Amino acid sequence: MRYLRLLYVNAVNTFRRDVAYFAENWSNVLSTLLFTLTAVLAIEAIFTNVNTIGSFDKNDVLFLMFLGQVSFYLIARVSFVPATEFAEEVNSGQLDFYLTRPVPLRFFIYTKSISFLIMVRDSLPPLIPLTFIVDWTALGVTGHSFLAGAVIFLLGMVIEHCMVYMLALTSIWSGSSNHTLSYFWASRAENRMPYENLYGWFQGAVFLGLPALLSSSLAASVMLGYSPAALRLAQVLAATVVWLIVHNYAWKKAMQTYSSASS
Amino acid sequence: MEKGHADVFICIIMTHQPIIRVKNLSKHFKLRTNKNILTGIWRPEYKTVAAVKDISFEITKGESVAFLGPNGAGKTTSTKMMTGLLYPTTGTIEILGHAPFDRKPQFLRKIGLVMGNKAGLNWDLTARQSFWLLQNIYEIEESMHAARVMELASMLKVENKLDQQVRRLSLGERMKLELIGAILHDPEVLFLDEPTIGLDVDAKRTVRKFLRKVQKEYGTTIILTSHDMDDIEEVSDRVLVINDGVIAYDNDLKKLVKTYSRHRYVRVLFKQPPSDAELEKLGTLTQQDSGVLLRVETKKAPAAIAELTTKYEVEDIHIESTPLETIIADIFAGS
Repeated sequence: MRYLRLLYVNAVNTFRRDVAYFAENWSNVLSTLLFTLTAVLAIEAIFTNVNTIGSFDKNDVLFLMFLGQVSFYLIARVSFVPATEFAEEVNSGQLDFYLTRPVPLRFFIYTKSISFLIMVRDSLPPLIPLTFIVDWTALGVTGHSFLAGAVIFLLGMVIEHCMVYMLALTSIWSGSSNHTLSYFWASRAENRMPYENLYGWFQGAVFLGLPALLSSSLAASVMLGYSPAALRLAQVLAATVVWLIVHNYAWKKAMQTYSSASS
Repeated sequence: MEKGHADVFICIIMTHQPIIRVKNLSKHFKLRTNKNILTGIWRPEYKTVAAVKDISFEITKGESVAFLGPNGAGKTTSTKMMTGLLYPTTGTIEILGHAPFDRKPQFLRKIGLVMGNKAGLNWDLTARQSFWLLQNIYEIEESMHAARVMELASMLKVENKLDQQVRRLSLGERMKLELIGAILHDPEVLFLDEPTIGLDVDAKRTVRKFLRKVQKEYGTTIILTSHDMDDIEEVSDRVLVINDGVIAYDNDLKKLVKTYSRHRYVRVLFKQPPSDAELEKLGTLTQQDSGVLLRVETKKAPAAIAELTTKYEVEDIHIESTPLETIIADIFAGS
């Protein structure tokens, strides 16, 4: 109940903060719209000469793109922006205020600046056209594969969340993590590759270094029935456990190391 | 002993029980010494710097104690260890029966922290909106919270600033609201790090009066770190002077002034000023402006004043104690 209450208060206060600056950042909507448009045009261009890439036809690739975009908007607003803010607070010493208040620290940091309003504002304009472009009835999704894919999608998001905060936590040792955090977007640069088409070693590497591919490529592959659901689910589950353990350890070490910016 | 007397006796004992116990506290920091970037990465070398060296003290409930010292003396490090922000290298701290670094909610509910150069309130929200978050963090009942906000806001005369975005407020208004935020939950111990930094004279005075009132009315124990001697004189009763990581002085502020105040400053306005040579026989002539300022040894002051007033025609005379700044500078200089 206390957690829900804090989540509610943080959400309302973040909403108020977003409203105060709502006129700003509309360029985000334009840039994501432009990105979606060029990506759809690129897919159109590729599929004028080929019918499939690996096992994926054009509609599958569009669905993959849809999933990739959903994960992008979620991770950006739920994890990346709050993690960046956290790194800045470490740098400025603001973290002192959370450490000296009776709050469940990690929960509070994770939830204190999730911009639901901005997430909706930025994601709906590009996602709505995509939902009309994808032919949902032609996708080979079954109830079973959808469920497995959805769990993989969520676990992939959890791993990405761990990754973002582990990158942000480096600010506790180095004082800043602006450049370190940019690795996260580099790892997300291309998340619309059909998973089954990746090299064998690369398929394994995504679990460690490119988790963005889990919530898009692998989730889409399982949903569409191109990947064995049970095996992939077990692999992602194991990867999630490893990431969570490492992430918890990183938090523990970071909090022991935190020396607070001097005043 | 009658019951009433016993209650009073117990009460006196309770109020004089230390609520902060610091014993043999030290904090060492490891600093990298390599200046060359390449060798620094390849073969890093470190040196250990002792910021706080084996200090011990106790603070009782309701006391107002100032930590005083030059930059890098170890006072902020000590305060951070007491608030649980830093883990001590050696020694123990016990505050209200808790080890601060455990950061247990029961402990954190009992302390408040104000940092003059850091904003605890959200810059983009109004103070009232930030207080709402604090209300939920400290689980304060709605009616009690509203009454407390209004009571504290009226004490600091910022009732009409509660609904303005914090970034639109002046520094003084913001600091007053920061103070309210820090004591909304009625903490037993309030830590203040440079609470008046950058404020104008009026705002400083209001903040100091407010802190004294909080200490007296709510029985809050105040731990103050400041470079401003007026803050210390007006807010604190006891001073812990820290220099180079060790406590150079720990006692009553008045005693400090009395012990170290070896001189009196006599400001005199003469009708017909005597020569400098004549005045320098009485003390050190430190200033000559609208009148003269003589620094005289405390024990010789009565004789000097008598001589000044009988030998010369004096229009006005004013006797001042050694400024606290000078006393502290003397302690730091080891004199």
